[in-house]
Amino acid sequence: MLQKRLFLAAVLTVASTFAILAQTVQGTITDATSGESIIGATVKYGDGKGVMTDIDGHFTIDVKSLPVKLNISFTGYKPQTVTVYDDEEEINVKLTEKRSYLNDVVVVGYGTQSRTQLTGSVATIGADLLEDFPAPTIDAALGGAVTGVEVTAGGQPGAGSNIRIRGGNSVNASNNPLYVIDGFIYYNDASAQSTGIGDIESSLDPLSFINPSDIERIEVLKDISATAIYGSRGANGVIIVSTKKGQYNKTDIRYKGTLSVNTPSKKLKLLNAHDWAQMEKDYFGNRGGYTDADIALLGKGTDWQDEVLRTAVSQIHEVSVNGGTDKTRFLLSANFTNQQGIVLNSDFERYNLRANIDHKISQKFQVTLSSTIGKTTQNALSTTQPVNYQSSPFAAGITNSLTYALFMPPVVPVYNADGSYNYNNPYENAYFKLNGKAANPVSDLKNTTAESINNYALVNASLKYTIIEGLIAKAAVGANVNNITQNYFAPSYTALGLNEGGVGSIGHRQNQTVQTEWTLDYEKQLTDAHFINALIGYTTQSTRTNFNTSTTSHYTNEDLGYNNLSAGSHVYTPTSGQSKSTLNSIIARVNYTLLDRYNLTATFRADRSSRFSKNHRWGYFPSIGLSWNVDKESFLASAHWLSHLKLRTSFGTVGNQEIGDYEYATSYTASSYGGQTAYTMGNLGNENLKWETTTSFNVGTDVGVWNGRLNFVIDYYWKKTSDLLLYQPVNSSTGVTQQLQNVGNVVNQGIELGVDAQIINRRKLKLSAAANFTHNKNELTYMGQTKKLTSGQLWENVLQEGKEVGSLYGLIFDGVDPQTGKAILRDISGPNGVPDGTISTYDLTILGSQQPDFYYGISANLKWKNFDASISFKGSHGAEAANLLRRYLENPSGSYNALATVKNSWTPTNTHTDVPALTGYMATSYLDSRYVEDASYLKLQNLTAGYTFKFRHAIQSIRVFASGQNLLTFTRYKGYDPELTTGVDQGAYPKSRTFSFGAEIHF
Amino acid sequence: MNVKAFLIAAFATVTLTVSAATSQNDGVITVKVNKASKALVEKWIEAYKAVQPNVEIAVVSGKNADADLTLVSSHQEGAQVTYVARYALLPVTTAENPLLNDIQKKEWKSKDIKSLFFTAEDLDEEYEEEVEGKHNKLKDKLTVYSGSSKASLSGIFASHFGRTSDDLRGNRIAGDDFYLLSAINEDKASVTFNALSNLYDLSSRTLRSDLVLLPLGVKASQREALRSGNLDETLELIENEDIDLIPVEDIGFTYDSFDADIEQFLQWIVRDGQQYNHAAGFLHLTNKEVESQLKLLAQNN
Repeated sequence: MLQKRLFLAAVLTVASTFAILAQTVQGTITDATSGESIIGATVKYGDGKGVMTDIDGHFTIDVKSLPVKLNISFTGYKPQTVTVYDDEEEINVKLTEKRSYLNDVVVVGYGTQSRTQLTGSVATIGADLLEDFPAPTIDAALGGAVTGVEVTAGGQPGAGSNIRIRGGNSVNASNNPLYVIDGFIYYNDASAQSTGIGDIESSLDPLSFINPSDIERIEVLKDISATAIYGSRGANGVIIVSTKKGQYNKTDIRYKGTLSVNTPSKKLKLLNAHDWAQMEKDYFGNRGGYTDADIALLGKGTDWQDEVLRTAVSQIHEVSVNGGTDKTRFLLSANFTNQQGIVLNSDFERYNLRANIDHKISQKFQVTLSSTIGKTTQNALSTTQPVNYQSSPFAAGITNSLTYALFMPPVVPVYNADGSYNYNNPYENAYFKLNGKAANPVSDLKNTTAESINNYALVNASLKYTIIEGLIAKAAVGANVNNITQNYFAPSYTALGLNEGGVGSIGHRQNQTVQTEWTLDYEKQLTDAHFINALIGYTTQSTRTNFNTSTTSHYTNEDLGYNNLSAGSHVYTPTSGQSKSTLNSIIARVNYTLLDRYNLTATFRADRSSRFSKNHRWGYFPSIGLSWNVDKESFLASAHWLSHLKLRTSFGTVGNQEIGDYEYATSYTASSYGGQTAYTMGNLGNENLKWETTTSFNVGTDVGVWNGRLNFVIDYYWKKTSDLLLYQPVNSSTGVTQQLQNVGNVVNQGIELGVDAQIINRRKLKLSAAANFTHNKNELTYMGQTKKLTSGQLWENVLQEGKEVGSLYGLIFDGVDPQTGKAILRDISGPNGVPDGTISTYDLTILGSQQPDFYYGISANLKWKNFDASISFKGSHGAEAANLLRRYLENPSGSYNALATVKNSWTPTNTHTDVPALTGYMATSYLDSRYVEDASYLKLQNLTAGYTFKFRHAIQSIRVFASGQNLLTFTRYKGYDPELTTGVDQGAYPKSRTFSFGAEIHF
Repeated sequence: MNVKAFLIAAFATVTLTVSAATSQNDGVITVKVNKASKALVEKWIEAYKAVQPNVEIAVVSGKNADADLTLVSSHQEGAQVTYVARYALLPVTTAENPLLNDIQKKEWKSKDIKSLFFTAEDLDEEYEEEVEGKHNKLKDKLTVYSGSSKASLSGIFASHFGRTSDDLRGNRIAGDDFYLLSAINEDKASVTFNALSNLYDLSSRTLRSDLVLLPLGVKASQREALRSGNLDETLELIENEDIDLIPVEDIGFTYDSFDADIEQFLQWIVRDGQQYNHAAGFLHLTNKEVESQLKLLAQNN
């Protein structure tokens, strides 16, 4: 026993001695650029011993003696050797990232992936682009930035853009891409921002709650391999927005202030008072009783366009504090945006707060919070609403308060001699005139309220737990609430209030979305040859929408406007409603890489959506993607000029569930009829309603040469959308005229080409350029029994089998008869299929397509010492637009003004012209090809120059910049702007040319 | 050592350390220094006590030690600093470097030093090096050693050539910059840079026998002075002539509190203590600096 004790004591003594002699070396591995800890870096020492850094980038090793050589490495970084001579101070090793395509990490659905392992088509937009483009919302900056993404921006401040990724798949369901903001799936189209008050023309941009400066990067997922993880919501592509995070152990404060001046980028050439009075006298009965002498004295008269357009001023102020400790990092940002519109009394205002916090509770636990709250307010134009009967002002082309100004006779003054508004317009039709009092567009714009307010919050929190090395469990919960209020008031002396004796409405809408996510993610380099990443998860999203509107008219006192609806003696039937939907989903994905060369991504998502009938609620969306890093093959080992060469392909199915709630069910609408409540069928249910399904194939290549100095991305895609959610005409005996059915197929196929080049890449001088080109061919390949469907005020839109969605429909204009001055419209068919000598619906044909043949973007960036400059162009070619505004402005009556082109109208002495004789009525009630215009354009979208002053004091740097947006447009389009959110121009809000100046101070 | 003795010793050490570290204006001026300047500061204290025997000045060390005065090896923006001496950095290799002949054949001008010590400034050049294999043979064979500790002068060296310490090529060491010389002696085919106080034997006043300075592309007379291996000639050269290739930086004391004892001590160093700088391998302050530092000290009072 004693011997044993002695032995034990000896062992303990020796062990203690070694323990005492051993020296502990501690250190932290960080990224040399960002200062962030590097987790999982390998620290090798001695004879093959090694440890990995923990979640703080920290490592501890015990060595027998010093010095000891540490070899530190981490994928994507240059390795570093550090010889430790004393352990007095903790070692801080900064690793420098290798700058190459191989290390590029992209954000994909529910995770990140190395670009070399990617099988899908994913484009990335960095913060640089957004910073160089001082716009209040991100939509505009996306235009022309990447292949496959077509953005048509609206002109109204705060209004949304039309964003299409690889063409539109659907007709009646949404074509908007899905947004994922810091992991929260955000889907809100413009209709979700409207409470149902139809008199407000614009609604808030669903993306207006994101301040572009808060964004770190945007990933656009385009092909099936990338989007399939979003299953029933991925058909239109996915835009993943990652906002900026804090940084560990460092604090930065930044302020950025931008002041902009906006002017109309174009004005229409309208008749002046002299020419208008001459026309009135010559063609329309001379209601003004003008003599030639009177006309000679009239001069230019009132330029109503100038009166309602203005030079507007905008300002953006942004402050962010970005910092943290070794366990916690945060970013707090606040911004205020006030953007005046170039049309009187229109503007957009935003107050926004963002807080992003990450905290490492322990080495295994991490909690993350991403939140934004704020308020946006938009003052928009009021609209006459599309009413399809010929006597409405809308049918006469007066679609909103701006277009009304264009139609105003220039002989009518804005103000009376005493400075009050002039409400006397003897030429006004009955539309906007009552008891001798006519509307005045300037007064309309200034006194009509058409306001949309959104108080919003988007909060997403997640907890990550590392179960074992490489296996991470994540639970996330998020909520998005939009409380939208729309206030509308048109006093009795305004266009829309005249016949109503003043009309006011208040609408509320609350959209609530709650999302939960539970995922398990496993990633492991199994051996040198095998890498695997597997993800499984369950996610739910439930949405509830409530809305209500109240409208009264015939006000006895209008002073309080919409704030006192009870002052209106006539009460319209109030509306209210609620809808709910839920989406439960199971997700699974496996990424496998063999020998760093061969990559496979298999994705599966099962969605259960309450928007479909019980028998069709489940949808299953599988996809597979393959890629091959050809450059890593031995036969290319000597091709040093080749930086990377990858071939990609993917195939699979995604869906579209973005239709309204309860579309599968029959519903009835209550209304007031003769003082009683009456019910009419609102929707004819369809128990067979199911998912719109898009099957997609993609093949592409990524090529980089000369160390990534010149890169190409080329893709070909083919997408077929089946079971199209399409409103089909039904027998009116059912109580409705149409029903949503799964009928038809749409095919989109196209080619994308992206190229970027680092032309000069010195530390003090960098010049890069990029260009992208996308061709998309859209075809409605099958429509069921109905082969043609028309819509629109003039039947100008048609859905026709074998043609593109968005085709324009009408008669062919063959010029002006030199003898009669009448428009010659082509007789192409008749009841018997042959020309019948009369112009009728048989002669209607497709006149063009709103879909461009191709669209493109070109940009360049220069950095020279502290100076920076960037320029970007975007363009679209081959699309047509129906210029209905011109149609009305070239067909004047005695009541309204006209475009100056009518001065070239046919007369007995001017027989060779393309403008028919002025008659006061339209040659046809349909669209004709005169007004289907080439909407191709090339725009100088942005030009920015900046200079950074660097300091060593409390202020680290100040960057001053000047920028211009929408500076030049090359186009043959005759309207305000060829970039239209719809292909039918009924007087869209004009685009502005913007000059911005600002400073960014970094403390 | 038995347990009791160990505990007593440990207690005494901790007590003394804490006492020294926390003493503020209690009659003892505490000074925190790094290894490279410790000899110089101790010499100043010794000489100052000779003229001011009543003043107590103690040198403290350790990363957690607090002190009235802390020595810094570079200019500090926004802090209260009195600069007290200057030092110079020279590029060096070991006498046993197998590439010594190649090194000595060259006259190392600014662009050569930048190219040898730093990652390519021009990314085009980096591409050629990393991808096309157009290697500069000598550069490729030499490993650069630099310090990674907070007190390392790597940042000063890099900054002089318009770069940052992150841009330095090669391997790092953790520990005092003095160990860089150990590292190159072990690796042989390597280069580094260091302060004169480490490069020269302060007793014999000559360059350490195991080291060879990289021949700089300077005027012939200047090259001769450097080649002589004599510390005093080298110090005199750098003080009297402006040589762009040699980084020179100030050292100084930062202070949070300031009293008459501290002021007098600093005034003495700036005015009278300069005579000891050369002995420790440091340069004198320039006359202009002496003037400005005395003026600043007077303003602090």
